[in-house]
Amino acid sequence: MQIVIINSNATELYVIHKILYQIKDIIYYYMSASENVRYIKIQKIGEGAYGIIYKAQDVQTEEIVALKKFKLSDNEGVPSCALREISILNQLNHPNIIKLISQIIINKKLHLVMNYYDMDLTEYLKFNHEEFHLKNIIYKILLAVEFIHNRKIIHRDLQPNNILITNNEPVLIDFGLSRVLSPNMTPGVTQLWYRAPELLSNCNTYDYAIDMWSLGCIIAEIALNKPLFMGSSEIHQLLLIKNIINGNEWFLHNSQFAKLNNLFIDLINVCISLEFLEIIIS
Amino acid sequence: PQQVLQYQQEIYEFLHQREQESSGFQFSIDQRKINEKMRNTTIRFVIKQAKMYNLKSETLFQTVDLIDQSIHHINPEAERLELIAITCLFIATKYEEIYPPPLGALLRGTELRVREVIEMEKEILYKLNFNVISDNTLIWLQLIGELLGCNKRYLDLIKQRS
Repeated sequence: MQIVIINSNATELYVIHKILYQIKDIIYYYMSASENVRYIKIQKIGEGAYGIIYKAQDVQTEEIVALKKFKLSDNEGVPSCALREISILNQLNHPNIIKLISQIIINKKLHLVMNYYDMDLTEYLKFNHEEFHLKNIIYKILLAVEFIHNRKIIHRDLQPNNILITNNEPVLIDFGLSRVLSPNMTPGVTQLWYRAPELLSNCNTYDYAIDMWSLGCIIAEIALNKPLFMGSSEIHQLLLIKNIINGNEWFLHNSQFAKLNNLFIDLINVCISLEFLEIIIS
Repeated sequence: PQQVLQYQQEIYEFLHQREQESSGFQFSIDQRKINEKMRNTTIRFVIKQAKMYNLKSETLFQTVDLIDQSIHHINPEAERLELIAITCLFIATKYEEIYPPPLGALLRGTELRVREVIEMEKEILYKLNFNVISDNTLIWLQLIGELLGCNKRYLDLIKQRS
Protein backbone atom coordinates (compact mmCIF):
# COMPACT_ATOMS: atom_id res chain seq x y z
CA MET A 1 0.00 0.00 0.00
CA GLN A 2 2.82 2.39 0.87
CA ILE A 3 4.53 2.07 -2.50
CA VAL A 4 1.31 2.83 -4.28
CA ILE A 5 0.82 5.97 -2.31
CA ILE A 6 4.33 7.25 -2.94
CA ASN A 7 4.04 6.86 -6.71
CA SER A 8 0.51 8.06 -7.04
CA ASN A 9 -0.83 11.36 -8.18
CA ALA A 10 -3.89 13.13 -6.91
CA THR A 11 -6.53 11.10 -8.77
CA GLU A 12 -5.09 7.79 -7.58
CA LEU A 13 -5.04 9.05 -4.03
CA TYR A 14 -8.65 9.99 -4.44
CA VAL A 15 -9.47 6.45 -5.63
CA ILE A 16 -7.65 4.87 -2.69
CA HIS A 17 -9.42 7.20 -0.35
CA LYS A 18 -12.76 6.18 -1.84
CA ILE A 19 -11.97 2.46 -1.52
CA LEU A 20 -10.88 2.87 2.07
CA TYR A 21 -14.07 4.75 2.76
CA GLN A 22 -16.10 1.85 1.38
CA ILE A 23 -14.12 -0.72 3.35
CA LYS A 24 -14.55 1.30 6.55
CA ASP A 25 -17.90 -0.25 7.37
CA ILE A 26 -16.55 -3.77 6.87
CA ILE A 27 -13.57 -3.07 9.12
CA TYR A 28 -15.86 -1.66 11.77
CA TYR A 29 -18.03 -4.73 11.48
CA TYR A 30 -15.11 -7.07 12.09
CA MET A 31 -13.85 -4.97 14.95
CA SER A 32 -17.22 -5.13 16.62
CA ALA A 33 -17.41 -8.85 15.89
CA SER A 34 -14.11 -9.48 17.65
CA GLU A 35 -15.47 -7.43 20.53
CA ASN A 36 -18.41 -9.81 20.68
CA VAL A 37 -16.19 -12.83 21.03
CA ARG A 38 -14.27 -11.19 23.81
CA TYR A 39 -16.56 -12.52 26.51
CA ILE A 40 -17.77 -16.12 26.62
CA LYS A 41 -20.79 -16.80 28.76
CA ILE A 42 -20.31 -19.68 31.19
CA GLN A 43 -23.52 -19.85 33.17
CA LYS A 44 -26.53 -17.86 34.31
CA ILE A 45 -26.29 -16.55 37.87
CA GLY A 46 -29.35 -14.49 38.50
CA GLU A 47 -32.38 -12.90 36.95
CA GLY A 48 -34.41 -9.81 37.69
CA ALA A 49 -36.96 -7.46 36.26
CA TYR A 50 -34.23 -5.53 34.43
CA GLY A 51 -32.52 -8.48 32.74
CA ILE A 52 -30.19 -11.40 33.33
CA ILE A 53 -26.78 -11.76 34.96
CA TYR A 54 -24.23 -14.15 33.48
CA LYS A 55 -20.89 -15.43 34.63
CA ALA A 56 -18.47 -15.02 31.75
CA GLN A 57 -14.81 -15.26 30.85
CA ASP A 58 -12.69 -12.62 29.19
CA VAL A 59 -10.85 -14.26 26.31
CA GLN A 60 -8.01 -11.77 26.23
CA THR A 61 -7.07 -11.70 29.89
CA GLU A 62 -8.72 -14.97 30.97
CA GLU A 63 -10.40 -13.12 33.79
CA ILE A 64 -13.78 -14.17 35.14
CA VAL A 65 -16.31 -11.34 34.94
CA ALA A 66 -20.02 -10.83 35.51
CA LEU A 67 -22.15 -9.71 32.58
CA LYS A 68 -25.37 -7.88 33.30
CA LYS A 69 -27.69 -7.95 30.33
CA PHE A 70 -30.37 -5.31 29.81
CA LYS A 71 -33.17 -5.59 27.33
CA LEU A 72 -33.04 -2.79 24.79
CA SER A 73 -36.61 -2.32 23.66
CA ASP A 74 -37.42 -0.60 20.40
CA ASN A 75 -39.63 2.06 21.85
CA GLU A 76 -37.67 3.12 24.88
CA GLY A 77 -34.04 2.82 23.94
CA VAL A 78 -31.73 2.46 26.90
CA PRO A 79 -33.89 1.64 29.96
CA SER A 80 -33.80 4.25 32.70
CA CYS A 81 -32.46 1.89 35.36
CA ALA A 82 -29.50 1.03 33.12
CA LEU A 83 -28.92 4.70 32.41
CA ARG A 84 -28.86 5.53 36.10
CA GLU A 85 -26.72 2.55 37.04
CA ILE A 86 -24.03 3.27 34.45
CA SER A 87 -23.80 6.98 35.08
CA ILE A 88 -23.69 6.47 38.83
CA LEU A 89 -21.16 3.64 38.76
CA ASN A 90 -18.95 5.66 36.43
CA GLN A 91 -18.43 8.35 39.05
CA LEU A 92 -17.89 6.05 42.03
CA ASN A 93 -14.37 4.88 42.62
CA HIS A 94 -14.02 3.17 45.96
CA PRO A 95 -12.48 -0.18 47.01
CA ASN A 96 -15.75 -1.36 48.55
CA ILE A 97 -17.96 -0.49 45.60
CA ILE A 98 -18.10 -2.63 42.47
CA LYS A 99 -16.18 -1.36 39.45
CA LEU A 100 -17.77 -1.08 36.06
CA ILE A 101 -15.15 -2.36 33.62
CA SER A 102 -16.96 -1.41 30.43
CA GLN A 103 -20.32 -1.38 28.72
CA ILE A 104 -20.77 -3.14 25.40
CA ILE A 105 -23.56 -3.91 22.98
CA ILE A 106 -23.89 -7.54 21.89
CA ASN A 107 -26.70 -8.50 19.52
CA LYS A 108 -28.38 -5.14 20.10
CA LYS A 109 -28.46 -5.76 23.84
CA LEU A 110 -26.65 -3.63 26.36
CA HIS A 111 -24.24 -5.52 28.61
CA LEU A 112 -22.41 -4.20 31.64
CA VAL A 113 -19.08 -5.86 32.39
CA MET A 114 -18.22 -6.02 36.08
CA ASN A 115 -15.92 -7.94 38.38
CA TYR A 116 -17.16 -11.34 39.49
CA TYR A 117 -17.44 -12.38 43.14
CA ASP A 118 -18.96 -15.69 44.11
CA MET A 119 -20.34 -15.11 47.62
CA ASP A 120 -22.89 -12.71 49.03
CA LEU A 121 -23.54 -11.77 52.63
CA THR A 122 -26.44 -14.21 53.21
CA GLU A 123 -24.29 -17.15 52.15
CA TYR A 124 -21.34 -15.79 54.09
CA LEU A 125 -23.34 -15.67 57.30
CA LYS A 126 -24.23 -19.36 57.04
CA PHE A 127 -20.71 -20.22 58.20
CA ASN A 128 -19.14 -19.24 61.49
CA HIS A 129 -16.70 -16.39 61.35
CA GLU A 130 -14.45 -14.59 63.75
CA GLU A 131 -15.86 -11.49 65.37
CA PHE A 132 -12.95 -9.45 64.07
CA HIS A 133 -13.90 -10.20 60.43
CA LEU A 134 -17.54 -9.32 60.99
CA LYS A 135 -16.61 -6.00 62.59
CA ASN A 136 -14.35 -5.23 59.67
CA ILE A 137 -17.19 -5.94 57.24
CA ILE A 138 -19.62 -3.67 59.08
CA TYR A 139 -17.05 -0.87 59.17
CA LYS A 140 -16.27 -1.17 55.46
CA ILE A 141 -19.95 -1.19 54.49
CA LEU A 142 -20.50 1.97 56.53
CA LEU A 143 -17.55 3.62 54.78
CA ALA A 144 -18.89 2.70 51.34
CA VAL A 145 -22.36 4.03 52.11
CA GLU A 146 -20.90 7.27 53.45
CA PHE A 147 -18.94 7.59 50.21
CA ILE A 148 -22.12 7.20 48.16
CA HIS A 149 -24.06 9.70 50.23
CA ASN A 150 -21.28 12.25 49.89
CA ARG A 151 -21.97 12.19 46.17
CA LYS A 152 -25.66 12.99 46.64
CA ILE A 153 -26.70 9.47 45.67
CA ILE A 154 -29.15 7.19 47.47
CA HIS A 155 -28.65 3.46 46.96
CA ARG A 156 -32.28 2.51 47.74
CA ASP A 157 -31.71 -1.24 47.48
CA LEU A 158 -29.42 -2.15 50.37
CA GLN A 159 -29.85 -5.79 51.43
CA PRO A 160 -27.51 -8.70 52.19
CA ASN A 161 -27.97 -10.10 48.67
CA ASN A 162 -26.49 -6.92 47.26
CA ILE A 163 -23.35 -7.07 49.37
CA LEU A 164 -20.74 -9.45 48.03
CA ILE A 165 -17.80 -10.75 50.05
CA THR A 166 -14.29 -11.55 48.86
CA ASN A 167 -11.50 -12.35 51.29
CA ASN A 168 -13.60 -10.95 54.14
CA GLU A 169 -13.98 -7.62 52.37
CA PRO A 170 -17.47 -6.42 51.38
CA VAL A 171 -18.34 -5.02 47.95
CA LEU A 172 -21.54 -3.08 47.26
CA ILE A 173 -23.37 -3.95 44.03
CA ASP A 174 -26.62 -3.32 42.17
CA PHE A 175 -27.13 0.39 41.66
CA GLY A 176 -30.12 -0.23 39.39
CA LEU A 177 -32.53 1.41 41.81
CA SER A 178 -30.25 4.13 43.09
CA ARG A 179 -30.57 7.72 41.99
CA VAL A 180 -29.53 11.26 42.72
CA LEU A 181 -31.46 12.86 45.55
CA SER A 182 -34.45 14.88 44.40
CA PRO A 183 -37.57 16.27 46.09
CA ASN A 184 -39.98 13.66 44.76
CA MET A 185 -39.24 9.96 44.41
CA THR A 186 -41.13 6.67 44.14
CA PRO A 187 -41.80 5.01 47.50
CA GLY A 188 -41.80 1.41 46.24
CA VAL A 189 -38.09 0.65 46.58
CA THR A 190 -35.90 -1.68 48.68
CA GLN A 191 -36.75 -5.25 49.59
CA LEU A 192 -39.60 -5.50 52.10
CA TRP A 193 -37.61 -6.74 55.09
CA TYR A 194 -35.18 -3.84 54.83
CA ARG A 195 -37.71 -1.16 53.94
CA ALA A 196 -37.85 1.89 56.15
CA PRO A 197 -41.13 2.92 57.82
CA GLU A 198 -41.38 6.12 55.78
CA LEU A 199 -41.40 4.01 52.63
CA LEU A 200 -43.94 1.60 54.10
CA SER A 201 -46.27 4.51 54.76
CA ASN A 202 -46.00 5.64 51.12
CA CYS A 203 -44.12 8.85 51.69
CA ASN A 204 -42.39 10.25 48.61
CA THR A 205 -40.15 12.87 50.17
CA TYR A 206 -37.61 10.64 51.86
CA ASP A 207 -33.83 11.01 51.99
CA TYR A 208 -30.65 9.19 53.03
CA ALA A 209 -32.35 7.89 56.18
CA ILE A 210 -33.87 4.96 54.27
CA ASP A 211 -30.39 3.66 53.47
CA MET A 212 -29.45 3.95 57.11
CA TRP A 213 -32.53 1.97 58.12
CA SER A 214 -31.58 -0.88 55.80
CA LEU A 215 -28.04 -0.71 57.15
CA GLY A 216 -29.32 -1.01 60.69
CA CYS A 217 -31.30 -4.10 59.71
CA ILE A 218 -28.24 -5.60 58.00
CA ILE A 219 -25.99 -4.94 61.00
CA ALA A 220 -28.55 -6.53 63.32
CA GLU A 221 -28.72 -9.48 60.95
CA ILE A 222 -24.96 -9.92 61.04
CA ALA A 223 -25.07 -9.88 64.84
CA LEU A 224 -28.11 -12.12 65.35
CA ASN A 225 -27.56 -14.32 62.29
CA LYS A 226 -31.16 -13.87 61.19
CA PRO A 227 -33.15 -10.95 59.75
CA LEU A 228 -34.51 -8.51 62.28
CA PHE A 229 -37.95 -7.96 60.78
CA MET A 230 -39.43 -10.65 58.54
CA GLY A 231 -42.77 -9.26 57.43
CA SER A 232 -45.01 -10.89 54.86
CA SER A 233 -46.78 -7.72 53.74
CA GLU A 234 -46.32 -4.01 54.19
CA ILE A 235 -48.76 -3.81 57.12
CA HIS A 236 -47.31 -6.89 58.78
CA GLN A 237 -43.88 -5.32 58.45
CA LEU A 238 -45.02 -2.10 60.11
CA LEU A 239 -46.61 -4.08 62.96
CA LEU A 240 -43.43 -6.06 63.50
CA ILE A 241 -41.38 -2.90 63.66
CA LYS A 242 -43.85 -1.40 66.13
CA ASN A 243 -43.83 -4.54 68.30
CA ILE A 244 -40.07 -4.88 68.50
CA ILE A 245 -39.23 -1.23 68.88
CA ASN A 246 -41.41 0.34 71.53
CA GLY A 247 -39.98 3.03 73.73
CA ASN A 248 -36.43 4.31 73.83
CA GLU A 249 -34.88 1.30 75.56
CA TRP A 250 -36.54 -1.37 73.48
CA PHE A 251 -33.46 -3.58 73.34
CA LEU A 252 -33.53 -4.16 77.11
CA HIS A 253 -36.80 -6.07 76.83
CA ASN A 254 -35.59 -8.28 74.01
CA SER A 255 -33.63 -11.37 75.02
CA GLN A 256 -31.92 -11.62 71.63
CA PHE A 257 -29.94 -8.51 72.27
CA ALA A 258 -28.77 -9.45 75.76
CA LYS A 259 -25.47 -10.93 74.62
CA LEU A 260 -24.47 -7.90 72.58
CA ASN A 261 -22.12 -5.13 73.52
CA ASN A 262 -23.59 -1.77 74.55
CA LEU A 263 -21.73 0.20 71.92
CA PHE A 264 -22.96 -2.19 69.29
CA ILE A 265 -26.55 -1.71 70.33
CA ASP A 266 -25.99 2.03 70.17
CA LEU A 267 -24.89 1.66 66.57
CA ILE A 268 -28.01 -0.26 65.61
CA ASN A 269 -30.16 2.16 67.53
CA VAL A 270 -28.74 5.15 65.70
CA CYS A 271 -29.37 3.53 62.33
CA ILE A 272 -32.89 2.47 63.18
CA SER A 273 -33.93 5.89 64.28
CA LEU A 274 -37.38 6.19 65.75
CA GLU A 275 -38.25 9.75 64.82
CA PHE A 276 -40.40 8.86 61.88
CA LEU A 277 -42.07 5.92 63.56
CA GLU A 278 -43.34 8.11 66.37
CA ILE A 279 -45.06 10.34 63.86
CA ILE A 280 -46.90 7.37 62.39
CA ILE A 281 -47.98 5.92 65.72
CA SER A 282 -49.20 9.21 67.18
CA PRO B 1 -35.62 17.76 50.58
CA GLN B 2 -35.28 17.02 54.24
CA GLN B 3 -32.21 16.87 56.45
CA VAL B 4 -29.21 16.51 54.18
CA LEU B 5 -27.19 19.24 55.82
CA GLN B 6 -24.51 16.99 57.20
CA TYR B 7 -23.47 15.94 53.71
CA GLN B 8 -23.77 19.33 52.06
CA GLN B 9 -20.14 20.36 52.37
CA GLU B 10 -18.82 17.20 50.74
CA ILE B 11 -21.41 17.24 47.98
CA TYR B 12 -20.53 20.76 46.91
CA GLU B 13 -16.82 20.04 47.11
CA PHE B 14 -17.29 17.05 44.82
CA LEU B 15 -19.39 19.01 42.34
CA HIS B 16 -16.91 21.87 42.34
CA GLN B 17 -14.12 19.43 41.59
CA ARG B 18 -16.09 18.08 38.64
CA GLU B 19 -16.71 21.59 37.40
CA GLN B 20 -12.98 22.28 37.53
CA GLU B 21 -12.23 19.17 35.52
CA SER B 22 -14.64 20.13 32.78
CA SER B 23 -13.71 23.80 32.73
CA GLY B 24 -11.61 23.41 29.58
CA PHE B 25 -14.93 22.97 27.88
CA GLN B 26 -15.86 26.52 26.96
CA PHE B 27 -18.10 27.49 24.12
CA SER B 28 -16.03 28.57 21.18
CA ILE B 29 -18.88 29.21 18.85
CA ASP B 30 -16.74 30.32 15.93
CA GLN B 31 -15.54 26.79 15.23
CA ARG B 32 -18.98 25.27 15.51
CA LYS B 33 -21.48 24.77 12.75
CA ILE B 34 -24.11 26.04 15.14
CA ASN B 35 -24.38 29.67 16.15
CA GLU B 36 -25.88 31.20 19.21
CA LYS B 37 -29.23 31.95 17.61
CA MET B 38 -29.82 28.35 16.69
CA ARG B 39 -29.02 27.24 20.20
CA ASN B 40 -31.44 29.80 21.59
CA THR B 41 -34.31 28.60 19.43
CA THR B 42 -33.59 25.00 20.34
CA ILE B 43 -33.62 25.74 24.02
CA ARG B 44 -36.82 27.72 23.67
CA PHE B 45 -38.31 24.67 22.00
CA VAL B 46 -37.13 22.42 24.85
CA ILE B 47 -38.63 24.77 27.45
CA LYS B 48 -41.95 24.67 25.60
CA GLN B 49 -41.89 20.87 25.60
CA ALA B 50 -41.00 20.75 29.29
CA LYS B 51 -43.93 22.98 30.13
CA MET B 52 -46.25 20.91 28.00
CA TYR B 53 -45.47 17.68 29.85
CA ASN B 54 -45.13 19.30 33.31
CA LEU B 55 -41.55 18.15 33.70
CA LYS B 56 -39.47 18.99 36.75
CA SER B 57 -37.08 21.89 36.48
CA GLU B 58 -34.21 19.48 37.22
CA THR B 59 -35.05 17.70 33.99
CA LEU B 60 -35.06 20.93 32.04
CA PHE B 61 -31.65 22.04 33.29
CA GLN B 62 -30.26 18.57 32.74
CA THR B 63 -31.49 18.67 29.15
CA VAL B 64 -29.83 21.99 28.44
CA ASP B 65 -26.62 20.68 29.96
CA LEU B 66 -26.78 17.53 27.84
CA ILE B 67 -27.46 19.54 24.67
CA ASP B 68 -24.42 21.73 25.30
CA GLN B 69 -22.22 18.73 25.94
CA SER B 70 -23.37 16.82 22.90
CA ILE B 71 -22.91 19.88 20.67
CA HIS B 72 -19.41 20.09 22.04
CA HIS B 73 -18.63 16.43 21.41
CA ILE B 74 -20.47 15.73 18.17
CA ASN B 75 -20.37 19.12 16.42
CA PRO B 76 -23.50 18.38 14.40
CA GLU B 77 -25.02 19.96 11.31
CA ALA B 78 -27.75 22.50 11.90
CA GLU B 79 -30.47 20.17 10.60
CA ARG B 80 -29.67 17.57 13.23
CA LEU B 81 -30.07 19.99 16.10
CA GLU B 82 -33.74 19.21 16.59
CA LEU B 83 -33.00 15.49 16.74
CA ILE B 84 -30.28 16.09 19.34
CA ALA B 85 -32.56 18.30 21.41
CA ILE B 86 -35.32 15.69 21.48
CA THR B 87 -32.87 12.92 22.29
CA CYS B 88 -31.36 14.89 25.17
CA LEU B 89 -34.81 15.62 26.50
CA PHE B 90 -35.58 11.91 26.25
CA ILE B 91 -32.43 10.91 28.17
CA ALA B 92 -32.99 13.56 30.83
CA THR B 93 -36.60 12.53 31.42
CA LYS B 94 -35.54 8.93 31.83
CA TYR B 95 -32.85 9.97 34.28
CA GLU B 96 -34.80 12.40 36.46
CA GLU B 97 -38.54 11.80 36.22
CA ILE B 98 -40.44 9.17 38.14
CA TYR B 99 -42.81 8.55 35.24
CA PRO B 100 -41.07 9.59 32.02
CA PRO B 101 -43.40 10.48 29.14
CA PRO B 102 -43.30 7.93 26.32
CA LEU B 103 -41.12 8.66 23.33
CA GLY B 104 -44.09 8.77 20.98
CA ALA B 105 -45.51 11.70 22.90
CA LEU B 106 -42.23 13.62 22.78
CA LEU B 107 -42.07 13.15 19.02
CA ARG B 108 -45.49 14.64 18.39
CA GLY B 109 -45.36 17.66 16.12
CA THR B 110 -41.99 16.75 14.65
CA GLU B 111 -41.09 14.69 11.64
CA LEU B 112 -38.61 12.48 13.41
CA ARG B 113 -38.82 8.72 13.70
CA VAL B 114 -38.42 6.59 16.81
CA ARG B 115 -35.53 4.66 15.35
CA GLU B 116 -33.54 7.81 14.60
CA VAL B 117 -33.88 8.97 18.19
CA ILE B 118 -32.74 5.63 19.58
CA GLU B 119 -29.70 5.55 17.29
CA MET B 120 -28.87 9.11 18.34
CA GLU B 121 -29.31 8.20 22.00
CA LYS B 122 -26.70 5.47 21.67
CA GLU B 123 -24.31 7.85 19.94
CA ILE B 124 -24.70 10.59 22.52
CA LEU B 125 -24.37 8.22 25.47
CA TYR B 126 -21.23 6.69 24.04
CA LYS B 127 -19.72 10.07 23.25
CA LEU B 128 -20.40 11.23 26.81
CA ASN B 129 -19.23 7.86 28.12
CA PHE B 130 -22.53 7.57 30.03
CA ASN B 131 -21.59 10.49 32.28
CA VAL B 132 -25.11 11.76 32.79
CA ILE B 133 -24.72 13.42 36.15
CA SER B 134 -26.84 16.23 37.43
CA ASP B 135 -24.22 18.90 37.92
CA ASN B 136 -26.20 21.54 36.15
CA THR B 137 -26.84 25.18 36.82
CA LEU B 138 -29.87 24.58 39.03
CA ILE B 139 -27.81 23.17 41.90
CA TRP B 140 -25.61 26.26 41.97
CA LEU B 141 -28.65 28.50 41.72
CA GLN B 142 -30.12 26.78 44.74
CA LEU B 143 -26.84 27.15 46.64
CA ILE B 144 -26.72 30.86 45.88
CA GLY B 145 -30.31 31.17 47.00
CA GLU B 146 -29.55 29.41 50.26
CA LEU B 147 -26.48 31.53 50.91
CA LEU B 148 -28.50 34.69 50.33
CA GLY B 149 -30.93 33.44 52.94
CA CYS B 150 -33.97 32.81 50.79
CA ASN B 151 -36.45 30.55 52.45
CA LYS B 152 -38.13 27.60 50.85
CA ARG B 153 -40.91 29.57 49.25
CA TYR B 154 -38.45 31.74 47.36
CA LEU B 155 -36.61 28.69 46.12
CA ASP B 156 -39.84 27.25 44.80
CA LEU B 157 -40.55 30.55 43.09
CA ILE B 158 -37.13 30.51 41.44
CA LYS B 159 -37.83 27.01 40.25
CA GLN B 160 -41.14 28.01 38.76
CA ARG B 161 -39.66 31.00 36.98
CA SER B 162 -36.71 29.15 35.57
